[in-house]
Amino acid sequence: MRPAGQGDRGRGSEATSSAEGVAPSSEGDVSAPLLSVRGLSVVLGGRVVLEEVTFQLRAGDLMGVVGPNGAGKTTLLQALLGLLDTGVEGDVRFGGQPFSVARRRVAFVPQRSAVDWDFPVTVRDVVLQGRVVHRPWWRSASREDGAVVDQALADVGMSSLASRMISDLSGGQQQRVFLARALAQRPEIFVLDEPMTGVDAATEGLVWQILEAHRAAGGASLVVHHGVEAVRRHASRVLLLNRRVRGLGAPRPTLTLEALAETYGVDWRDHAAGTP
Amino acid sequence: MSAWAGAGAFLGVGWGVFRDYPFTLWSSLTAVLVGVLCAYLGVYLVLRRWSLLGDVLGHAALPGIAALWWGAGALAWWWYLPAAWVSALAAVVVLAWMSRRAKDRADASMAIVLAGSFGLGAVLWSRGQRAGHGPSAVQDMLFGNAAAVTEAQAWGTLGMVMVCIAAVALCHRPLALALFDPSYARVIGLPVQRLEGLLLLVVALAVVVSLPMVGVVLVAAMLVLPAQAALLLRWRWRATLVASVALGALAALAGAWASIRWAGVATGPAMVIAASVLFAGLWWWTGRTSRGGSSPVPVQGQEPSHVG
Repeated sequence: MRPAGQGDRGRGSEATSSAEGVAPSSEGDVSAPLLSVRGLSVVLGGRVVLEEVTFQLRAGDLMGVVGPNGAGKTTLLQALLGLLDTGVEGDVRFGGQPFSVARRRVAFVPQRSAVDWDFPVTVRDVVLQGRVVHRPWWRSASREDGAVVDQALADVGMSSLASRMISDLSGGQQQRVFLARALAQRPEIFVLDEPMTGVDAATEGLVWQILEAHRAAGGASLVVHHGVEAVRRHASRVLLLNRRVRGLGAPRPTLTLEALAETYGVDWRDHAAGTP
Repeated sequence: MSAWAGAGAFLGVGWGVFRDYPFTLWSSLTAVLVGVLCAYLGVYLVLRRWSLLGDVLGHAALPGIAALWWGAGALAWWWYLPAAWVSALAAVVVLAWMSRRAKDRADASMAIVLAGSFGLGAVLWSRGQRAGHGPSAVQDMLFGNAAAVTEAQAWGTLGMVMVCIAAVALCHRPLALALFDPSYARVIGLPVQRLEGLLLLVVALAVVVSLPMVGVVLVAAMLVLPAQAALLLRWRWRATLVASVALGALAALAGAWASIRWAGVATGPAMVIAASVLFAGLWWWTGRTSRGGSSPVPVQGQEPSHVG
């Protein structure tokens, strides 16, 4: 067993350089990545949570972010989406622009537990929130907004529950509502934080299906997910994270036992039952 | 049947109050306004899980009122409003500063600020009494006194209530989103902190406006009770607001009439008892019709979730 953070640093940076070495150096390139993160470090309460994280998300990427608890996965998303006020260093560009300019093109799906599901709102009310970013705050939803919302509800199979109160929903249905809200935003990039936690198999399948369709249509997604096997199966690229980037690239060559052992600080070769 | 009898008795008391004390029209109007305002803002406050904050604001208004009384002697009621507002907001600033260091124990910080400011207010109060200032509108601000409300006060209250409700209603859409899902709201660029700050300022103003009627000790109950009762109904936001406002107005009117009709009944406590009775009634009724039970709705071709 090797403690996390003391493995050979070579592999992480090697994978980084081999996968990202062809990155265009000039901003505003025609093939500019949808998301470019360079040297992102985050310090929270005096603790280094992320260190020199560098990766890119291109059109057609479905990237899974994998790592143990406390690896900084959620912090990474918070830093990318401007949710951290202090302690963030490095360069984050969405299509060459800072997030404050690009936020319309990025749809965030928070953890389900982040909100109070007893709020007195309906399923449709929540999905309509996805359109707020596209209009001035004092303007009410247009007919076009309504049509987009109806489509999003249909895409996640929730049309029949549109007028239900959200407090009536199961975990999987709640996740579908969040996904529909993100869909209603019509984004380039989906950013999802643990979308499979506490949801049924059908919903999990639906989430992957929608993200794969988005990728096929030229969009990109960044998914924090704890299930290594599902990421191996569905993601087109993987970011192995534990404070630093421990691996980056296509799932199969990246999610090796050695890399996982280094990332999680556990050597699975010693535990046959725990083989991922 | 019993509901009709209750409504009849209620209107009977009201009729008696108006017949015997015609001047109480203004205090009744003010009571309804205060009840409406508190109940309206209460829905936002309860959903933000800031129920205790109303209590802090109410108690923290006392030092401002008492200090002004001690320093300047008895003044007209409206002199005390800015003093109470500044004093309440000062407590919020202290609270914000404290919560930066003790993030996970916000309730402890609230308890400390509430008790501390009330203690300070009580000391200033007794200094004022010692200084020989006679009885004034200030004393009514401890538990409220509907009978002391004047016509000017009723109109002043109406203006403030309209300002407060308009401010929140105008910002309802972004505010509701910021309360429901703050991280999503921030990601799409809503000024979440400023919206919460606005809610706080308006609630502080509402507390101050309500003080002559409800009193510093119990004003929080008028913020929380009607809202929490209305939320039991599990209606949509707008319907919840209407229900809360109706309950708040009813409780305020009942309390005001009771305090005018029967000597020795303070207005604030009477209002809170009326609101509590309404809350208890709704609690029983929603439990009986099992509207409170939340069973996941099945969708065709979908298994129930493993968790939650």
